[in-house]
Parts: sequence; C-alpha cells; structure tokens
Amino acid sequence: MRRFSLLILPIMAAQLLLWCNVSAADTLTEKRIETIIQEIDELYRSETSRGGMTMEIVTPNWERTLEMSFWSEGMEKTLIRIHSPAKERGVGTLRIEDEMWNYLPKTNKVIKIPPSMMMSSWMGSDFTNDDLVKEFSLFEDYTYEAATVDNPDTSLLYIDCIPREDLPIVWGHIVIAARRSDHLPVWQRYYDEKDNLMRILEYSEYTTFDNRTIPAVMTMLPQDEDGKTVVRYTSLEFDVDLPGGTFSLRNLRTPE
Amino acid sequence: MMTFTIALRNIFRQKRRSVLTISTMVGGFVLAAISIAWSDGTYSNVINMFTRNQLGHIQIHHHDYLERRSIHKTIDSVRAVVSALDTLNGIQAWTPRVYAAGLASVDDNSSAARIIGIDPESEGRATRFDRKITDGSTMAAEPSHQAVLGNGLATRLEAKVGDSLVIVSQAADGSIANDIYEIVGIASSGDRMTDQTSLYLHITDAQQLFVLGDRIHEIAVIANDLDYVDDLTENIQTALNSATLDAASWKEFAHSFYIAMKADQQGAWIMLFVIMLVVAVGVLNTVLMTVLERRREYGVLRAIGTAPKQVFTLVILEVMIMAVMSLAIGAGLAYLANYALSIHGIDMPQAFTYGGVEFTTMYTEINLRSFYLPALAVALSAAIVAIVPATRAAHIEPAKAMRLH
Repeated sequence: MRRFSLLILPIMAAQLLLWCNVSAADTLTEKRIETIIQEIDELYRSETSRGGMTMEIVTPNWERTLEMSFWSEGMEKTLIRIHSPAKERGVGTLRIEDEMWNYLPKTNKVIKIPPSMMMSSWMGSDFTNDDLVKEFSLFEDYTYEAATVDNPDTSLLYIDCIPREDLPIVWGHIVIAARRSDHLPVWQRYYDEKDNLMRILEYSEYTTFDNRTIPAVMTMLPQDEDGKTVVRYTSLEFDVDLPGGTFSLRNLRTPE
Repeated sequence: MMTFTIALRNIFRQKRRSVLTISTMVGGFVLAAISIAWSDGTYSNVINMFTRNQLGHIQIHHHDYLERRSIHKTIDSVRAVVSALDTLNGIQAWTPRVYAAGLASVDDNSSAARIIGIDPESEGRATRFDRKITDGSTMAAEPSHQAVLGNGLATRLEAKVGDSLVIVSQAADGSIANDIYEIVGIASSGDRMTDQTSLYLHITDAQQLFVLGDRIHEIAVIANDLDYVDDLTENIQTALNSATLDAASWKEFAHSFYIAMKADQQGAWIMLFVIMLVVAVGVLNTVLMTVLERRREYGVLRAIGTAPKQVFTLVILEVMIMAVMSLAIGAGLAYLANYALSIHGIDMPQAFTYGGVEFTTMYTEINLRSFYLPALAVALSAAIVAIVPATRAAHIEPAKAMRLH
C-alpha cells in the first residue's frame, strides 16, 4: 500500500480487528508488527462493504462538499458515486485492481485514468487517484519496524513502513501511529525520499458501524500547501451481498 | 540683404544647374521620407497584427497573473473595472476574457486545448474576431454552447463545423469540468502557434464550465492610437485604484516580441543612415560642381572688392535657399507618395512571416518623423557640405581665377 486509501476502510477495520486480537503487549516485536500488517492485508481481501460518506475539500481558493456512496469488494474493486452537489450528481469512479475510470454523466463519457495521472488529485481533493487504487500492499511491498518519534505519547504505538527498493513507490517512508489500547490508527505521516514530511492523515471520531469500531473521520493535511480534505463516513456496512456486475463499466455508466 | 538678393539671382540665373541641385536634394528627401514611413508602417503593421488583432494594446489582470497564470487569479469586480475604463479617453474598445486549459475531444481524437472564453460582440469590436473565421461563423451573441476552433486544432481533432466537441478539465472549484459544445466555426488568427491550441467559447459558457461565477481573467483594451498606449496604461492603472489589479501595455505582456521589434528598429536606423549618406554625397557633388564652374565669377567678385566673408556667405546662402526650396517641394512629393503607399501598399514579392504571422503587403505610415528627419538630414548635410566649396570660393585668387575660362 502506497498511502492510506481513502475508501478502503478495510485497512482501518483490519487494524481494528487485528489490534483486538493481538494481546496488549507493551512491546512491539518484529513478529507482532508483521502479524498486524499481514492480517490487515489478508483479512480484507474477501470482504465486501457498502456505505456513504461526505468529503469536505478546503483549499485557499475554494471549498466544496461532496456526498457519495461507495461499494467495495476486497482490495481490488471499488465503485464510488457522487450524489451531491447537483452539478456533480452521477459522477462515478470505478477501480478494478490497478485500473481506474471516471464517468461523467453530463457528457456521457468514461475516462480511463492513465498511469501518468495516478498522482493527480481525485475530484480536486487532497487524496490522489492512486490513494483509491492502492496498487501496493503494506504487507508485501513494505518492510516495517518500530518507529521512534520525538515526544512519544505512551498511549500510542509507532510503526515505520519503508517501501521495498525495487518498487516505484513515491514515499520515502510512512510512519503510522496507533492507539496502544485498541490499536486503532491515530495518524499517518507520509515522508518523501528526502525525509520531508509531505502530508498527514489524521483519524478521529471513532465510531461503531455494523459492530466494528473505526475512525469515522479522516483528515488529510497536505504539508506543501494550505487546505485540507475531510472524509466522514455517514454509514457503513460490512459483508453485504453485492449484486453481480456492481463493479463493471456498464454499471458505472448507469447512475442510480 | 544684398548678398541674399545676389544669391537668389544666382540661383535663377543658372536654372539648369539649380534644378539639378534641387532635384538631388528633393530626391534624397523623398527617398528618406518613404523609407522611414515604410519602415514605421511595417512595424505598426506587425505590432497591430499582434496587439490590435489579438492580444490587445493593454491588458488588465489580477496583479501577478502574468508571472504565473492560474485559473484562480481572477478579476473579481468586473463592474468596477468597466466603470473605471468608462471615465477615460483614448479607449477605442475593450473586451473581457476567461482562460483555462482542458482536454478537447471530437469522436475519438483528443488534444490539449487552451480554452478562451470571449464575448463575441465586444471581441469583434476589439480584435475583429469575426474576421478571423475562415469557415462557419462566430458563436451567437447569447451563450448557446457553441465553440470556435483554431484551424490547427481543428486539423488535429479532424473536426469540422457541425461536429460536437467534448471538453474535460478541472473547474475552479476542483470539480471535473465537462460539457458538450457544437462547433460552429473555424478561426485563423494568422499566428500558427495560437491556432494549434485555441478553442473559443462564449465567455458565459466558459464561466459556467469552469465554475467561475462572473469572474474573468483578463480585460483587453484597444487604444485609439498605438503611440498613446504608454500614457493610457498609466491612466488606467490610476483609474483602477486597486492593489490587486494591474494594467500592462503590450510592451510588458509581450515583452520578447517588443524586444525583437526594438532590435529590428535599430537595424532600420542603419539603413536610414546609409540613405542619408547617399543624399549628402549627392548634395556635395552638385554644390562642389557649382563652385568649381564659377571660379571666374568669384574671382571677379573678389576683384571688385567683395570681402572673402561675403563670398563665403553668398555660397552658403545659395545652397541653403535651394535646400529650403527642396524641402518644400520634397515634403509635398513625399506626402503624395506616402499617402498613395499607405492606401495601396507594396506587395512583397514573397510573403514573410514574423512570429508566425504572415505578411504579404506592407503599407507606409504617414507620421511627423518621416518629414522632419529627412528635412534635418538634407538641410544639415547641405550646410556642412557647402562649407568646403564656400571656403574655397572665398579664398580664391582673383587674378588667377579670372584668367580661367
């Protein structure tokens, strides 16, 4: 995983589940970290989910709030549909593995996102297209170790994820902070190859959906410019039955 | 006074010689006047092609728009700018514009495009946009989802009038801007680079597509007179009375073009100098001839007691009287010639391009400097050139000179 996925609650839920399973030992052994990451990757491969969220985007020049629904299947398939504002109603994004398409109802056009656009913003937010696609897996594509941070909070655990060298991952490393008590994530800090902090993802409003507690709000704070993007889950269901063809271009083209 | 009378008589006594001298000076004057008028005309023509017909003489933007263009650097109070412009004299026309980049597609062909939102009516008044349409027509006065393509862009998209065009881009609020337009015309601005990327929409359509509200990026102003642009730019800046808005003349926003023009104009001065030199040599030749031919006459003058100083003055006066007559005749002829050329122009044997703009016919420009510069050159060179023979005439030895025949 290259950076935290916007929609991929699986990760958070995974972390939650796994942190519940892992005993609240005080030390982060290598084995324990590895187990955590592995379980995250594996636990959510076969899951399906369905939910709604709002995305509030604030930049120096404009602000707007999107309301949308999403469906996901494992790590590979995601469909997002915007409902509001009216101007963008019906706009959809489909991703299947590492391919991604946007659908624009006004011009009835499906646009495939080329690899060169993966680092570009999704709908003008601080999340990139690549955040949605999640081409890389934390377990397979990163190495991890306990991280040391300045002024550590004793209630938090810190893990440093470093991408394997042979992969085209843009981040130098990612530091993840999680609560010692229930292992829910608190923040993730993304550093570039020169170890400059590029962006911070903060988690808040830990809420129980469908018997699972996850942070309902994720706030992405870019460090190279003013502004932020706040994603808030308004509803969330796990292990739902999704009709066949949910993740198809045909379905992408037929909003509502 | 007596010397003046003698000088005048001398001129009319030797009509053929005087006509020869005067025609040399008239010829030089007219030649210089035409070349100045022609070179100025060429520059005005090229500058106009770029400014009058495209960019505008003066542009008003958000204050650092020119350094780094961005869809967010807008003119927010268009009404205030317009009322400021209304208080000023010397403005022929103005027109608002919106700029953005986007991906344009016709069927399966796509190309990056520079989207220019224009108001067809005021753009027509300001930069004669309607005359650039080579096929189809310009968009309707009311926004009706119509687009005009630069001919290069149309070729690349294999688009023709009547096709529908899809634009996809990012709007100012971060959303995906996308809409369908009908291609109603193909435009050729004369600038190939521009035509390869330009996509014109009605300004209201463009504002809607890019969620700009009533904000715009640029107001292009056309001055009544190209020479008045610098003063007008200052006046506009003062009238705007705003820290966030800048008025810039074409010398600023088309700076590299201005530098190229200036370098070229300096080259023109060298040409002018050569023409002046030819005129000066011609004058020297005839004046020298006059004096040599009349050595006996000057000998007599000296013999009957004329002071060398008077002889000197006499020769200079003769030349100057002829110079003044030449200037009067030359000015008349030069005006007629320049006037004719300013209307009919000179067809270039081969069209030349400047900055991607093709020029086929050059016109002269009648201005003050095309009169006073040649006048100064002819009068000065005549005066300087006359000094040598005048000195020789003054110091002639009467006995020796009179023996010559």
